[in-house]
Formats: sequence, C-alpha cells, structure tokens
Amino acid sequence: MASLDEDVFFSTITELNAKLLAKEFSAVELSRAFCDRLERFGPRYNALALSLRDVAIRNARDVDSDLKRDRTRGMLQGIPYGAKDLLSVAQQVTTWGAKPYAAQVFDFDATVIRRLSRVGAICSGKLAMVELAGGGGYRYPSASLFGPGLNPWDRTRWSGGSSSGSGSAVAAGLVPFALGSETSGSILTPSAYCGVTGLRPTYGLVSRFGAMPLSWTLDKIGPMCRSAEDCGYVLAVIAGKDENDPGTAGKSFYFSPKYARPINTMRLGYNRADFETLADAETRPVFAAALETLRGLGAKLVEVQTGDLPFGAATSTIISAEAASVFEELIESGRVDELADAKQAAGLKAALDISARDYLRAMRIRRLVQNDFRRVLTDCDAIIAPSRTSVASKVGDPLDRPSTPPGPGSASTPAAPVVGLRGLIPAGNLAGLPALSLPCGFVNDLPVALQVVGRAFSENLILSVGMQFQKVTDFHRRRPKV
Amino acid sequence: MARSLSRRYVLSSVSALPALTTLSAQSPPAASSSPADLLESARTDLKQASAALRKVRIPQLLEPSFLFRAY
Repeated sequence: MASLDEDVFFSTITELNAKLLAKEFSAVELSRAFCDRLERFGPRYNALALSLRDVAIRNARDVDSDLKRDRTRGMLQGIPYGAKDLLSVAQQVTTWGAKPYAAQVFDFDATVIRRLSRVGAICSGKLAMVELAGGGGYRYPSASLFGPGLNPWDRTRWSGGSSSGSGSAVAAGLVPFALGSETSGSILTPSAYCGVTGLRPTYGLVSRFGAMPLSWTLDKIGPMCRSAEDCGYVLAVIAGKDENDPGTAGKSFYFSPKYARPINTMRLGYNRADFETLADAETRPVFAAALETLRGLGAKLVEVQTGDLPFGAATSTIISAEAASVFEELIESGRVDELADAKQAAGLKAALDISARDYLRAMRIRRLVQNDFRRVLTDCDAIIAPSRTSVASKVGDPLDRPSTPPGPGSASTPAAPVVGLRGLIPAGNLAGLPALSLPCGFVNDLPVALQVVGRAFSENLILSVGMQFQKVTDFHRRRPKV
Repeated sequence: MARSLSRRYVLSSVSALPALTTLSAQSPPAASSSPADLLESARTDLKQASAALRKVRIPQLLEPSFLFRAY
C-alpha cells in the first residue's frame, strides 16, 4: 500500500486539495493509496462493488500533468471518490446491487460522473447498494448482491441503506467522498448510521441521467462526505440543468462558504416530541446536547408541527407504482425472483396492481404536502429533527414493521399517539425538499445524527447550519477503527 | 429518462468477472413466510396504504404534482 499518513484517509476535500497544491503528494500517489485502501478494506464492510483502479490512476496522471502546468480546476481536482453502483460509468459493470443486473454494462457515463470528471475528480470505485435501491421494500440488510452493508463503527450493525457502500466507505476513510441517492431515506439513513455528512438536494437540482430510476417523482442524487463544507463543493459541481434529464429544474448551485448566513439570524423549527419521546431513550441526551449547541450558536428554536397527512402511504404508493413500471420486464419475466430479498420481489410483483386511482390520489396528496411545508417553513428557516431516532440496527434484525398494525383497543396501541415530525423523511422527499444529515454525537460508540430540512433550493442555508455546527463540534472528525 | 439506455449484457456468471469483489453475501435468514405469504403481505400493505390515502379530503381542483411541457 502506498505509504501516506493515516490522517490523509480521514481528511476533508479542502484539506486534501491544499496538500495536493502544496505538492505533499501527487494525484497518482493519492489515488493509488485510496484504491489500495478501498480494495483492502471495502470487502470488510461489503462496501465495494467494483474497483476502478486502472481508470483512476490514468485519470490521476492527467491531473498531475495539469497541476504541473498550474491548470487548476477547483477544489475537487485530484480527489478520489466512490459512486453508488446505480450510476453508470462507461464500459464498467453497473449492477444496481441486484443479481439480474450483475453483468450490466452501459456505454456512457452518468451526467454526475461526467461533471466530476470534468473538474478532475477521480472515480476510484463503484460502491455497493441495496438491490434496486430497495424500491420493492426489503426485510433484511442482506438485500444486496454484495451482502449486508456493515457498519465501520461496529460490523455487527447495518451501515444503513440503500446507499450502504457510500456510507461505510466514507466513514472508514476508503474514499474522501461518495455519491449516493435518495428516494426516501437512502442518503440520510446510511449517513446517520455511519456518522458521515450527507446531503439530499432539492428534487431536480441534480441530473439523474445515467442513474438507475426507481421513482421518477422522488429520486435525487447527492454527496456523502466528511463535512458539510465538502458536500457544498461536490454539489456545486454536480448540480445544474441537463437536457438529458427532463426532471432537472434548470437551477444551478453556487457555493461560497465565506458568505454563509450566520446561524444566529436563523429560526430553526423542531418538535419536542421527536427529541424527548420518539427518539430512543439512549439517544435523547445526545440530541438534547445537539439542540443546546444550536441554541449556543444563537439559533432561535421554535416548535413546529406538520399537518396530519399520510406521508408514508403516499410515498410508498408512488415509489411502488413507479418502480413496478421501471422494472415491469424484470417482474413479468420472473427474474425478479433472483433478488436476494424475497420480500422485495413480492413487493414489486404486488405493485403492478396499484390502481391509477390510488397513484393519482398519492400525487395529489403530494401537492398538499408541499403546501403544508410551505406553511411550516414560513415560520422558520429550516426544520431540525433526528435523522434516525435510533442507532444502527443489528445486521441480522429484520427492518420492516408488521404489515398489520395493532387493532383499536389492543394493548399495544397508545391512547394518544405521539406524532412529532416522525414522517419527516417521506414527507421531505414527497415535497422535494433538501436535507442535510449531520453527525451530532455517539451512543455506545455508534453515531447519531440530526437532519436539517430547508425550503426548496436552500442548500446554502442548510449547509451553513451544518458548517457552523461542525465548527464547534468534532463528531464529523471522529474515525472508526478500521 | 429522455434517452433509452443501451446495454450490453455480458453472458458470463458473476464469479467470472474478476474485478467484482468476492461475494461475501450472507444468505438472508430463512424467511418464515412463503413467497405466497409475502405476496399476500405486500398486497395487504398496499391495501392499507390505499385506505390511508382515501381518508384525505382532496379539493376537486387540486392537480397532481406532474410537470409536463409540450415541445
């Protein structure tokens, strides 16, 4: 293995960029070192789908040649990264995490890959994911061609999904940053469980061309990094209109951390129940401390409540119906039974029968959700909630809840259910709003995270919250024993 | 997506592709449910979602959140 100091593997993009420009190492040396590390430790976490060492070193040589001529192309030049294996890289296998597509090859790069390449970022590998991004609903973390994503903080725990490999690879210092995707929770969950900083951008800000579609209505691609600032640099490169993706909003993203809005001018909405009742008991002190940190920075915390709308039902109906359309051929051919998770196969099959009536109903409710968030975000600049209300689950534990909820009057039904902002992940995704997952503490050495949800296209604001939080905390700098 | 994807399927098994990591896939724990049970359960979930959606009063003039541009 190329001998670079261990600290390099846990450095931010900003730090690595400075070292490259100072010629502490070359782009080739950096890429080689990260490729070695990704190949050596990636399988330990079932994080690596495919090493792209040869292409990476070749591209790194081009970067060194540019740097010799002082042809600088920005913060990401020479920085290695991993791409969730639903993103096509030309002439390389793109498996979508699923056995039926294990040998699939595209002859073009996804737009986000092309944009990163243009600024000299180095794709060092494809990262493992839950098969088909979990769209049919999956029961176990092992729902993947590559096995269950294992958490670098505790390998008996799940890394989260569906961007499992992206979460664990960044956490374990195997790549400085990764690309993940979120339809409903797939960036926020592995970011929270693995203790990395993940950004789900506004719907339509980042092109999805070349990415496996799961739900055209809800899919977003976003960065998973070691810091909020790094997320900003990556987003600035990958965001923007793309004629190949009609879902792009035609908006660009310009990131200037120097001009970040001070947090002491912000009102942050939250719901006490999320932190004091719905969060697992062991996580509550960590969340309480995080809220105090935000108050200490001068943010004004105000209580908010979203409307009583069936976020989960609307999200699952939309995802299921659209996924069934995307994978119709897979389902009708019977190859869907090759998936690792039988529940996911069943979910996709059942989804073929979703009625147009239900789908349209869900799409109309989506507009109600959007209006509701507009109301809530009139009173505050962003919403704060736990990214997840517990630490990472055990790898062997089932992930789904029972399909039949307890009936009325049963012992397990609370008299007055506590609501909080519990549906914030599906709701935020339905409304297409951006969210940042920020490591905010540890419970028994397992990461816990906050999510910051903003108005559409307010990535600069939520990143600003993240950067200021990370200036006074060090949870994002901690590293697991790899 | 606007453009159809062109794919080249390599007719070889996963294990013949050396660049792929060794599959350390652990078989999922034996499902206590049969495929028929899982399908029934999935249909039940969809029925419950459908019931939840129908409880919402939707204004008649409310459009679904599609975006379509003629060109």
